[in-house]
Amino acid sequence: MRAYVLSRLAQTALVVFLSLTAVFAMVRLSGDPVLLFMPMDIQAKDVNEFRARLGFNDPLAVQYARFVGGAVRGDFGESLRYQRDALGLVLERLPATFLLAGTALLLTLFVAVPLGIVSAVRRNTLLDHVGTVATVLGQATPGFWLGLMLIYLFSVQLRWLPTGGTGTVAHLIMPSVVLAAFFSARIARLTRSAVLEVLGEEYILTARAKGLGEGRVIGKHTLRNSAIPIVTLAGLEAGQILGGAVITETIFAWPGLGRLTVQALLNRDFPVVLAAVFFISVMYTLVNLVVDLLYGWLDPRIRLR
Amino acid sequence: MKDLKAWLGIGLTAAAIGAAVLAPWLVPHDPMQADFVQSLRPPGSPGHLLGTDQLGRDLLARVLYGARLALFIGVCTVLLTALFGGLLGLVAGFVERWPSAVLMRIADVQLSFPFILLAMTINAIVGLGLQNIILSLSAAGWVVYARVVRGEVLSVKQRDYVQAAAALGMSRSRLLFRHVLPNVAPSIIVVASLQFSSFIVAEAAISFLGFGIQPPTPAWGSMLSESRDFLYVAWWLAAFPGAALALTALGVNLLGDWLRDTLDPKLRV
Amino acid sequence: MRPSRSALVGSLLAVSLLAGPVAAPPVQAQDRARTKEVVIGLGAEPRTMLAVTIVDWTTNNMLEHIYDRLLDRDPKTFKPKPMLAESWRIVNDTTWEFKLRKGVKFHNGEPFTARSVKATIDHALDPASKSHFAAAAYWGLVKEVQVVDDHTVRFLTKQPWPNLIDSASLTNALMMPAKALKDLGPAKLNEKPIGTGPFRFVEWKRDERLVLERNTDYWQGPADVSRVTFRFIPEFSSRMAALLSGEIDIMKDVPPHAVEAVERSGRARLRATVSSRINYLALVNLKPGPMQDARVRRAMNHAVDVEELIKQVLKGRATRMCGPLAPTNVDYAPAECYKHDPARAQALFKEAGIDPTKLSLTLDTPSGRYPLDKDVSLAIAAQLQRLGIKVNVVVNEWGTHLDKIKNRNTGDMFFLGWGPALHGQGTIQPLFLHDQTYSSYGNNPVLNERIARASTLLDPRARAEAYAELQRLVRDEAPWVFLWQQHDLYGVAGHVEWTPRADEKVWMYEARVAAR
Repeated sequence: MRAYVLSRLAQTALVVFLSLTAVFAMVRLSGDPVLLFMPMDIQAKDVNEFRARLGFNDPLAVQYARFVGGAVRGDFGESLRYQRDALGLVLERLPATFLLAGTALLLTLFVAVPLGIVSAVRRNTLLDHVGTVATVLGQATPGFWLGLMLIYLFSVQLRWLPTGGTGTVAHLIMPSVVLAAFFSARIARLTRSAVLEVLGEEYILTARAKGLGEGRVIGKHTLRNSAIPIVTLAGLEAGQILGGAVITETIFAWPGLGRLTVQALLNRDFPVVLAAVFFISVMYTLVNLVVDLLYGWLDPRIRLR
Repeated sequence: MKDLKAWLGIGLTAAAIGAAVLAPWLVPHDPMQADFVQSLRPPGSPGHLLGTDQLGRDLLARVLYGARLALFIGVCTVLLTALFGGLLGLVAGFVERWPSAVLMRIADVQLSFPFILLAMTINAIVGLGLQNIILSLSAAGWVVYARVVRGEVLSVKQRDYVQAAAALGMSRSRLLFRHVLPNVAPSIIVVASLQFSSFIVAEAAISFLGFGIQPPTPAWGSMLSESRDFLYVAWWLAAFPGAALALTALGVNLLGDWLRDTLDPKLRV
Repeated sequence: MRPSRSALVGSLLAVSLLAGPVAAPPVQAQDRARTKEVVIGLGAEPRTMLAVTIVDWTTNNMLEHIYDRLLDRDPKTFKPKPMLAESWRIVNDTTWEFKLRKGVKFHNGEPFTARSVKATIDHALDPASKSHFAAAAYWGLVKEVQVVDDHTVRFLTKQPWPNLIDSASLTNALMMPAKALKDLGPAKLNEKPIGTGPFRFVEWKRDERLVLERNTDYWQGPADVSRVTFRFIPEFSSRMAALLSGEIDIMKDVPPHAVEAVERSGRARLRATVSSRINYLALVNLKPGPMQDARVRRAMNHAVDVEELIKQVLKGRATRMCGPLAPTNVDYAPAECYKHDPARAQALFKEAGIDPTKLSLTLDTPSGRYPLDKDVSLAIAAQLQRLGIKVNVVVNEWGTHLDKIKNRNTGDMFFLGWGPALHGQGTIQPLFLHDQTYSSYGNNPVLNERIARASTLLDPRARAEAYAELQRLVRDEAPWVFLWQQHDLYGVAGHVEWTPRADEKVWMYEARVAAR
C-alpha cells in the first residue's frame, strides 16, 4: 500500500514536471508579453531594456534552467502584471475556488445521488421520467449559457441575486448551481444505472425474499454496492470541476483560480500561467490518487498495485 | 421511452445538419451584412424572425450559419482525434513494450489537466481562429480514443481464436484487418458520437471566453460572448444561439446514447 | 475499514468550511447614504499599491486617493497648479526648484519633506524597483534630486526638459514617505500603503475590492465621503445590475445603448463628459499597399461617414475630431474636417489609379477595449462596401492586436484609441514617426523635422505655432481616418453628487453624499 502510494506520488511529480515543461515551451513560442503591461507611450528602447531586465532576452536554455531552478523551490517568478510573486497570487485564489467547488460537490451529492436512487427504485414512474429528462437536459446545456440565462432572469429581470462577486450566500447561489448542473446530471444518471444493476443482483432478491424491509434493502445492501462506480466518477469529475470552474468563475466574476488563469492567459502573464498550471495539475493528479485509494477502501477485493 | 429518446436524438441531429447544409436557402440574409438602421430589432420583426443584433445583422441567419461552423468543427475534430488517437492506441496495443508505456505517460500528462483548460491554453499560445481551435481541441481530445482502442486491442489479442490465428502464422496486417479492426470499430464510433457534443460545447465555451473563433464570424460561442453586453436591451441575442447549441448537443448526445446501447453496451466513457 | 457515505460528506463539508467563512451581508444603498459611503464599480483592479511603480491609468487613479502629487492640474485648463509643492521655478536649463508645503503629514504621522521627494524619485529610478517610471518618458531624464533644505528640493536633468512640469503634475509624482520606505521596505508598503492623500488605505481584496477611509487630518480639509470602496466588476452587464440593485453607487463605462436603461431605472442618472481619449482608424503607410498614397488616404476620409457612425453606432456619444488632436489637448489647433463625400472619394481613387470595386482591404480591430470598437470597425466596413470596397475585418484579442501593430503585421487599417491625450508631443511623436512602437505612419521627412523641432521649444508662443503647423500637415497627409473623442459615461446613484472629469479620473475627494 505504502509502496503504491509512493510510486504514484513519484509518477505525479514526473507528470507535473512534464506538463510544466510543455507549457513553458509553448509559452515561449507565443507573443511578446512585455507590451501588454507597459504603458503605450513607452519608447522601443525602454521596452527592450525592460525585456532584458526580466531575462526575456537570454537564450531559451538559460531561461528554462532558471525556471526549473525556481519551480523546484516553489518560486515561479514575479507576475509581470502585478509585480508580485506568482505562486502567492495563485494561493490567494484557492479558498474561493475551494468554496465554490465544494459547494457544487455538496449540491451534487445531496441532489443528484438521491435523485438517481429514487429514479432507480421508482423505475418507470412519472418521477423517473421527469428525472431522466432533467438529467439529459442538464448534460446538454452548456454551463456558460445556463449562467447567462440565470443572470438574465434572477439579476437583470427579478433583481433577486447579484450578478457576480463574493460576499454573501446569495453570491454563491448561481455560480454553484451552474457548476453543479452538468456534474449532477452525470452523477444522477450513473447512480440510477448503478443502483438498477445492483437491484437486479441475486443477493438483493434473497434479501427481499428473507422479508427484509424495503428501507434496509435499499439502504444497506444496494447503496453500499453501488457506491464504487459513483465514487469513481465523482473523483474523475472532481478534476473536471476545475475545468468547469474556469468558465463559471469568469461568468460570475468569482475571484478564484479559474478566473485568475483566464486573465493571466489573456494578459500573457506567464509566471502566473505556469504557477496555475502547476497547481491545477498537482491537485488534479492528487484527486485521482485519492479516488484510487477510496476505491480500494470501498471494495477490499481490489488490490492496489 | 428509449425509442422516444432515440428518435428525438435523430430528429434534432438531422435538424442541425439540415440547418447547416441549407442555411443559404433558408434565410435570404447574409449573416455578416451589417445594416445599422435595423439594429437590435426584437424577434418577430418583419423580415427578421429572431430579430437582429447591434449591427442589424439577422439573428436567424447567424444562428443557422453557426450550426454550419459548429458541425464542421465537430466533424473535423472527431475525425482527427479518432484517426490520431485510434492509430496511437493500435500501435500501443500491438507493440506492448515501451511504445505503450510512453503513450500512457503522455496520456497521463494530458489527463493531469482539465480538457477545456488545456485546449484554451493551447489556443492562447498558438493563436486564435478556426484551424487553431480544431487543432487545439484535437490535441486535447485524442487520449480517450487511444485508451479505448488500446484496451480493446489488448483484450482482442487475448481471445483464443486470435491467438490461434497468430500461432498459425497469420500476418500482423491480416490480424489487424480481419480481427482487430472489426472489433474496435464499434467502440470508436460510440466514443466519437459521445465526444462530438463535448467538442462543439467546448469550442463554444472557448470562443465565449475569447480564445476561439472571433467575431464577425457567426460562431455560437462568440455570439454568446458578444450578447453579454446587450443583456439589458436584447435578451434574444443570448437566448437563441445558446438554445441552438444546447439542442444540438442534446440531439447528438441522445444519438450517442442510442448508438452505445445498440453497438457496445458495455462501454463506459 | 468500512465504506461510509457520511465520512465522505463530512470531509467535503470540512473542505468547504475550511475554504473560508462567508462574509457579512452588504450594506444597503440607503445606509451608505447615511454613513456617507460610496461604492464605485470599475472594470479592472489596481496592479500595485506602490506609487511610481506601474504606469496604468486605473491603478494610479485609485492610488491618487491615497497619495498626493507634487503639483495638481486645473480640471478645466489642465495647467499645473500647486499641491504638495507650493511654487516652482527654473534655475537654469537643467535645474528645476520646488518649494514644498509645510505641515503636511503622512498617514503614519511622518512629516512630508524634501527627503520624501528624493526618496520617491530615487525609488522610481532604482533598477531594483522595476518601475515603469524609470523610462525616459517619465523620470528617466532626471540625473539627480537634491535636498536643499527641509522644504526645498531641486531636480537636475540630463538635458533641458520642458516637460518636467507635466511629469510633476501627473501620477508620475505621487509622493511616498521616506522613512517608512526605508524602514518597512517597498514590499510592506505595497501591502499597506502610506500617503498624504485624502483617504487612508483599509484593505485590498484582490479581484474583489479596495477599501479606503477618509483622512480626517487631510491638509486641504477632510473629504465629504467617509469611506470609498472600489469594486472590480469586469462585465458591463454585471456592473449595470450592481448599480440598479444598489450594490454600487457609481458605475464606470456605461455603453451608449444602455443609457436609456440607466435613465429609466429611477435609481441612477447618467453623467457624461467628453474624454481626452481619442479613437482613430490608422491607414498604415509603414507597409506596402494602397495606403502608401496620400490620395487614397484622403479618399478614405471622404468615404467613411463619421457622423453616421457616431449617430447610429455610438448613439451620439462621441465628439467628432478633424485632426490628430482634440480640443482638450493643450496644443490643440482647429482643423478643417474631411466631409463625407462619396463622389470626391471616387474622384481621388480614380486620380490614384485605383478602382475601388476591385479594392480588397483588411482592417484589424480590438474587441471591448474602446467603446464598441469592434462594432464601429464592422460598421466602417459596411460603409466602405457602399463604394464597392471589400473590407475583411479581423477581430484581435488585445495582446495580439498590440503585437501586430508593433511588428507592422496589421492589415491596411487598424482601429486604436490613444489617451488620455493631454499634450501634443505625447500624441504626435509616438504615432507619426516610423520607429515608434505603436505608430502606423512615418517616413515623412518634413514631418520628422517639424516634430523634432517642436519638442525642444520652451517658449509657449513658438510651441503653439509649431504644433498648429504640425496639425495642419497631419490633417492633409491623412494618416488616419480621424474619428472622435470618446465620451465617458457613468451611472451615478441618486444620493451621490459627482461630476465626471475629462481626464477620466474618478476623484472621490470632489464627491458629496446627500442624505435622503
